[in-house]
Amino acid sequence: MPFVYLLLFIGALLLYVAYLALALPAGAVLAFVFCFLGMPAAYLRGLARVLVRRDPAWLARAGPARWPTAPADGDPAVLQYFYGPAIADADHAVRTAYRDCRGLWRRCAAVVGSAFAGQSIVFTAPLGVGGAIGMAAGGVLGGAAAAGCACVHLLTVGVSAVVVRAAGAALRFADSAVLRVKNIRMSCPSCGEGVPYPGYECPDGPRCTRRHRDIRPGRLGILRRRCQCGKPLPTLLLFGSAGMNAFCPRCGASLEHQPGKAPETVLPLFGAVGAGKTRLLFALVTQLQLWSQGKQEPRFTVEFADAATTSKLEHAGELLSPDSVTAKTPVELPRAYLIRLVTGSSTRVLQMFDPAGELYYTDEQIERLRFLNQAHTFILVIDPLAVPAFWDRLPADRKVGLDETRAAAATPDVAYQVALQRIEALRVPLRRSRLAVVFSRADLTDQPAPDIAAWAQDDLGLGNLVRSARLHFGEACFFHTAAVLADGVMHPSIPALLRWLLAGDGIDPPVAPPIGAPGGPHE
Amino acid sequence: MSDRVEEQAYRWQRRSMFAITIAVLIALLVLCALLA
Repeated sequence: MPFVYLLLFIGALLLYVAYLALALPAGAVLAFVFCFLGMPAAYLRGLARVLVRRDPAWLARAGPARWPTAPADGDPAVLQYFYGPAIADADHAVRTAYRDCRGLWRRCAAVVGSAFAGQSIVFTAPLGVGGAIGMAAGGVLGGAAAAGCACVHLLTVGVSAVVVRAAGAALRFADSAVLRVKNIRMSCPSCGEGVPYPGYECPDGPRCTRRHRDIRPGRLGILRRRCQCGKPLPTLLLFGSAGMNAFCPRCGASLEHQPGKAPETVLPLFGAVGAGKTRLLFALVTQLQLWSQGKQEPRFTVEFADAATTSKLEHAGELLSPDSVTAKTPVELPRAYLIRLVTGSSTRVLQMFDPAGELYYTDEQIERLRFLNQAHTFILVIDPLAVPAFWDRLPADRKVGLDETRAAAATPDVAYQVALQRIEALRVPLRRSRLAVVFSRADLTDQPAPDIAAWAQDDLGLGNLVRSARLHFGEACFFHTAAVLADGVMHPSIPALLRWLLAGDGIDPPVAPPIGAPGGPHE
Repeated sequence: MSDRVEEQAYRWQRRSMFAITIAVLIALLVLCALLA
């Protein structure tokens, strides 16, 4: 009998060894596969939850701890995904995966631990030992695989961020290049400052009143940005941002003329108080309208580019009758009159500034005239009756009725010199600028000699002014004009002046006058 | 700004990132299999 028991024991022992030979590797393989595949799977599952599923209830429980915040003084738009949120999402995915992997590990450990308890420990322990070995190996390799997945994701985010940021910089450069090629430089008609790029109101107005000061590609959007109200905005003039309501990022004034669509020409008038600047401006605008309404050049059209200009200049022609007196310009920072000229396929916006003469007399006042820095063509208006030498030589019967209308302030020479000094102090590049010296009231005085500059020197005693204009400015041209519209016909001096002004920007108005015609230019 | 606006703003970028990440992982696995 003992021999039989011994044989049975040896048999059972051999069976158990065989069981061990199967159970240990089986437990190890199972635990290894579970951990090795489970950890990267947990990472990918976490990534899908963070990037695709976005379950609100889950996000409320396990939302990202570190979410980027836009600067407090920045525009009211959502951050571009690759300027912070992508990294926050990657961080969120890694932390989610880490938490899930730890959960997986704990579940594995619990299963392995349970193999060493209970009544059938003899049979379950080998599985537990194998599971522990497989768990350790699978955990190491699975962790490495999950880390590899995280690295691939982070690398994808990093490369995408670099590509997106480079694309943004390239688009900014392309937009600036297009503006430069089209010779588009913008300035504000209200404050006169140069506008590097207009700000834009949210296109969802009036429901949303948020304003975006700089919509160009950057941390708030590359091709487009999203306002905090949810409405998307194009980020560049190339993509049609000019169609939105623009405003000046410096002063906040509305820019109705859709800046950026067409080149702008700033035309400031200056001269002594009462020299006839406003009346000349009315005449220039009326002449543009006459050209636009004329049949000889249907390609030339003129329109007021904003409501403020329309309300002030709509009836400019009615103020140009010989008997009408132009109201005094208020002594305040002027707003430009905006006129859009369309000649064939090209468009240009004229910004005409008509400041009160007093604004040129003091440093404090003239420093506010920022539009002078944006101008390349200036219009100096001189009332010849304000020149004492000329006035004194007039016969008494000619002075009747003129005394009330002549400029009473500083003489033109003094007014010009003071203004010139102030303009030079603003570092305006005068040598690259053009100056139209316009003697007004051609209807009230005798027609001067064909050479207006010589007339100004000899008869008006303005030799210093003439020489200074020719010395300081790249080009100076002299005109004698009458801002008078009689029977629907403008004095011929106005179209001549206007042609010279527009020629500087390559604009070709209808029908050029014959050389030497009355009122024509004299170099 | 509501979360809804951000969710809407980032939807396609997030999905693109997920798709690209999965595509790169699959490509790496295929490459490893081919090299092996």
